[in-house]
Amino acid sequence: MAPSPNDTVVLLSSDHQRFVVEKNIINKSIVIKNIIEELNGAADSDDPQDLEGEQIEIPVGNVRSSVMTKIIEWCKHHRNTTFPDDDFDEPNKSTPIDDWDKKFLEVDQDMLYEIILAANYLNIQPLLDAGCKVVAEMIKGKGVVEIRNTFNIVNDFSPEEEEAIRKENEWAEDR
Amino acid sequence: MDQLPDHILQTVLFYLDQQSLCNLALVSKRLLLQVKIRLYSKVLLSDTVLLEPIRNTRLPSFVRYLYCLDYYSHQRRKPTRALQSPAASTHFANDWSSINSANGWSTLKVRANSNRDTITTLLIRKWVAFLHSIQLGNGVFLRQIVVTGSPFFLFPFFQSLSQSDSSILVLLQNLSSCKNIHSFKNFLVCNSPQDFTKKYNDIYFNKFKKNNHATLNNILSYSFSKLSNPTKNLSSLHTIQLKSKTPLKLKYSALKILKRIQHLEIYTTHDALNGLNFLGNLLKFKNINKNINNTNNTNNTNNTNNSNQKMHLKTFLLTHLHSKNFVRSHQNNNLDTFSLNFNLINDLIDLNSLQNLELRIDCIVPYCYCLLNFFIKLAPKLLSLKKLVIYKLSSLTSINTYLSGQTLIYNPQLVHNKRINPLWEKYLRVFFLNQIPSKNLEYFFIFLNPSLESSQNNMLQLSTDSLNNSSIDSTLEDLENYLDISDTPPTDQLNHGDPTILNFTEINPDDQNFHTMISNDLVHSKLNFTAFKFIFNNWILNQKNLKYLIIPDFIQLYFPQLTNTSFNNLIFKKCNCLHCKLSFHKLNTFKSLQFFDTNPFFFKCSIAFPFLSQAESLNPLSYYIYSVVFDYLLSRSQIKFNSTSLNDLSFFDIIFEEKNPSFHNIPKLNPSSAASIRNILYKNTDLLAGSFLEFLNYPPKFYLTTLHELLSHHNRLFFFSQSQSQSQSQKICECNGHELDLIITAIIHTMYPLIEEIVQNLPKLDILVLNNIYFKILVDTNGKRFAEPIYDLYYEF
Repeated sequence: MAPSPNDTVVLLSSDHQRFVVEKNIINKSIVIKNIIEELNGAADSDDPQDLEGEQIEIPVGNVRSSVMTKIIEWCKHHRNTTFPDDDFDEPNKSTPIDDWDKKFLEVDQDMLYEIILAANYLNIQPLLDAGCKVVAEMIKGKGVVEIRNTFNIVNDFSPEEEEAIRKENEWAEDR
Repeated sequence: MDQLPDHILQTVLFYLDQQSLCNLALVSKRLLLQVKIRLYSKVLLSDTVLLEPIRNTRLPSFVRYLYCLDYYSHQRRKPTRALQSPAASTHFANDWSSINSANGWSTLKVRANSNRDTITTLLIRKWVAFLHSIQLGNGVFLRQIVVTGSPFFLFPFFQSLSQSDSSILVLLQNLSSCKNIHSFKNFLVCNSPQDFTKKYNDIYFNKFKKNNHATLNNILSYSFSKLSNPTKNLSSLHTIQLKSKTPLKLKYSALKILKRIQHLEIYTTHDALNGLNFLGNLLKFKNINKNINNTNNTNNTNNTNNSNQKMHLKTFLLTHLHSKNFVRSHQNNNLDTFSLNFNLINDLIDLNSLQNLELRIDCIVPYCYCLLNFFIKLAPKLLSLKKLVIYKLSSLTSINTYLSGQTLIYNPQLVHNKRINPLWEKYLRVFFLNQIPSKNLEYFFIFLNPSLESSQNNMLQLSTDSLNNSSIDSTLEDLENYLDISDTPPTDQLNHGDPTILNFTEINPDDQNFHTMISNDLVHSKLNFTAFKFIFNNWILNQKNLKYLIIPDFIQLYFPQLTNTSFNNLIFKKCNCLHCKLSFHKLNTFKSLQFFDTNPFFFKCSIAFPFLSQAESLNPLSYYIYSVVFDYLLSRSQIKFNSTSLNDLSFFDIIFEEKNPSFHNIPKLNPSSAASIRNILYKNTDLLAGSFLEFLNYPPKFYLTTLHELLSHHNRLFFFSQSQSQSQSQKICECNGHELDLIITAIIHTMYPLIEEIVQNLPKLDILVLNNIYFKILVDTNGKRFAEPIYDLYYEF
């Protein structure tokens, strides 16, 4: 059975595409969830007739349609997942990335960053954490040059500066 | 990654280990900025000399840290480079300065004459900033916190010791409930009053563990019994450091926890310098345990074997002093009870697998050879040793704490037993001759001189204070008594490398004990100079993994590389060395000074030193003579040779001709520096062309009589002309702004052939200390390794 318009919201991507999503799916985004609650609250208190039967449209100007598709896919998959409350629980460093998330985030770097930025913008903390973990995994075990190559980062240190930093940080390394 | 804003990048960094963070810091400037705040930090709060091995390098810290605070978020590191200029370092006249040391500690170095109010204010400010930083959650990453003594007692608003300790509690409470601290591994509290223990333990065990500081694996306790019940919470424990002012007590149940620790460090201080006492108790328990197991499991050989197992330690630190004082204080007349007992250690610890060994030991009981015996037996056992540190414990007696004005380990008996020092040379020679079999030595430190810690003048601080109080009326005799300088030949006071040592040591050749402990063979052949030179030279230069090398002065006499010619060339001509920063001056001039000695040999002579002109006409023999005389002068009067004293002849007249001499000049020339100077000079003279043994036979009187005869021909040879203008002589003397610079320069230059050989033979060498001069090994543009002297930076590591 198709969800009623009251149970869905419309997300407008930066390239003006419309995405109709169930509220209980997109509720993983704290930002969207708050907007919906605010709008519903406003409707309750003012004129309940105003929004009745109308779908809420939320422009998400920072997110492209391709990224929005991925975000919605993630939310759908995790619709029944309970994530720890971030306000009270510190993220656990040692918890490995969920297998599905890992596969889901096997995308090119640009897309990965866009997903991370979108998760940050929409305040989807578990997705943000998963994205960051993936980036961290890409860094782990790599040497300096490898990291530069992997992420296409230009070395803006002079050799002297690099040597100085290396020496300065020597003590902090886990050896 | 550039697309990610800083706060997201921080989330990424959260999931990285320290090694990855260190790598990332080198990728780009932006990443460096982001990573810095996530690197480990350390906090040290201390009011006294810290005898703490630093981090996993286990470097001994002979630095006086008053207070160390190091966290990246404040970004207040200063480049070490700034201190590498000799001028900068020697003119280090500020009361304090922040130094970023090589091992990552930022240090506030405080001098004895520092303004305490300024420092106190500074400490408070930094302390408040630190707590504030934690509370704000600025991502302070602590790896280690060390609190020694009662640092907060210094604060004016903490009126009592208990208040001072309560401030540590506040720190603990703040830290234990702080979620912003990650990777916290160590919390150490030392030397606090007993009543603090309970509070400390409560907080430590309950709060830290509750907050899942799972990485915590190093605790320090001076109450070992508190650790006797191993719990799951302590499953990661691998290090125990014991610090106590009282004899360490032990419970039987401690055996359980000791089975699996890897690092055992026993520090004791003051009158309880007896770390072996603790081990003795441990052995008793072990034997009891063994007996119980034997009784209960007579058929089960496995269990019995387990109980017989030695501790497989990676690190072992022992503090132990064999002294009469200690024996007396324990109302036990049996000296042997507290002697350095090698078998005790050998029974408990598997020395073959030991990697890090730090010995802070000494024996000051006359005619006792326990130390020698200890060294002889120890050396062949050290199969896997990587780091070896040996402190001559009694040399620590003269380390004064800065603020209290008291000595850290003060034992009057030790101070008055300085003349036993030369024995150490023999013992160490024996130790080296036994050639530690390990081929993996990376750190090799031997500290015999009390002056290795940073400030040279501190060593004589105590003497100076006393002089200031009574200098006007004191006689030379009084001074000698006070400084424990009697009419022995000069080199006896400036001990290392002294060829006349044998005449003044307390070894009694007729003592049967001595002969039973070491064979005739050893005494007569292995202590032989030539053999030692050959063996030690070969042994040390074959330690290809050596990274840090600090060897005592006397060893250097046995290196054969220096020749008279090279010495003369260096000292008379300007060195062309590209790397020596101290080679700015051409040492082509001489300055001579006249002094008159009144007793006991009534000789009258000149003393020459390489400051002013006419040097070329002097032969090497003169160097020797003058240097010995120079030593003699130093040993008797502790004169500071600086531009003032060298230019003021009346100064010498005052010393040697007045009946009641007074000393207005604070003695600052470190005896070991003087010894270094003399060693170099002495080594490079023709007088020593004869054999070493021949030289040993020189009786002191003959030694000086010969000098007298020789000097009678050189009387007033290079008398310093008083007609020379004051400004001109000052200009020459002050060359580099420091009275020792020229001397040090000469020493450094003469050591280059030796250093060159060491550097080329030891490819991993990073730091070298010879003659108390610190060398850092660097690589030049052609890829060639060379040693750069940074002589005033001992405290940099």
